[in-house]
Amino acid sequence: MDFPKVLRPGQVGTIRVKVETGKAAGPHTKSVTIRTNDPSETSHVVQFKFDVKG
Amino acid sequence: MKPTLRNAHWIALLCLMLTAACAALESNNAPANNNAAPAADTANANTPPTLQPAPSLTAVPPATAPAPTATTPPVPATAQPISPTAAKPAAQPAAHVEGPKLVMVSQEHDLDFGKQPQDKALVRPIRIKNGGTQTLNIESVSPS
Repeated sequence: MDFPKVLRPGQVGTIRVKVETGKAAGPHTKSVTIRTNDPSETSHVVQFKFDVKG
Repeated sequence: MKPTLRNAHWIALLCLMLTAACAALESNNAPANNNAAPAADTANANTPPTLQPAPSLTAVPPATAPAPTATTPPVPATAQPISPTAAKPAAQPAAHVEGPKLVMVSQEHDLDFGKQPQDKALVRPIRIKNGGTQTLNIESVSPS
């Protein structure tokens, strides 16, 4: 995964996430955990949803 | 006239004179006694003292004091102590947060890939922002 290591105050960054759909058909959910030095939230979970056509 | 009859007349006259003198003495003494204590008149006067009826004691009902109205003091509004450190605005913008702050710019619909074919690699960008006042360090991004 490609992501910036440092963000200054007010700066916007982009994290590129790669997800494999696999062979199983139907709705799926994939999660990605982002860990930072934010004292209020040291780890943030991001969920991706997709529906694999059978 | 016989001497006995004459004597009887003289005796009767003397009695009359005596009674008249007594009456005169009593009439002379009456005004002098008025200046003295009036209470003595009731004892000395011939007329019986008039008994005044005793004052009737009527039970006076106690003054009906107005029922104390249960007036509860108005409950003051919950006054929260205001201290310089405790006073914080309700809606605090992310830019004013002390220290680094991770803010998700991408919305939920941006993370829904929809219908996709099998065995396909999907690449999606996740936009994040540092909403704090200090540098945000992204330590790791890993699948969970």
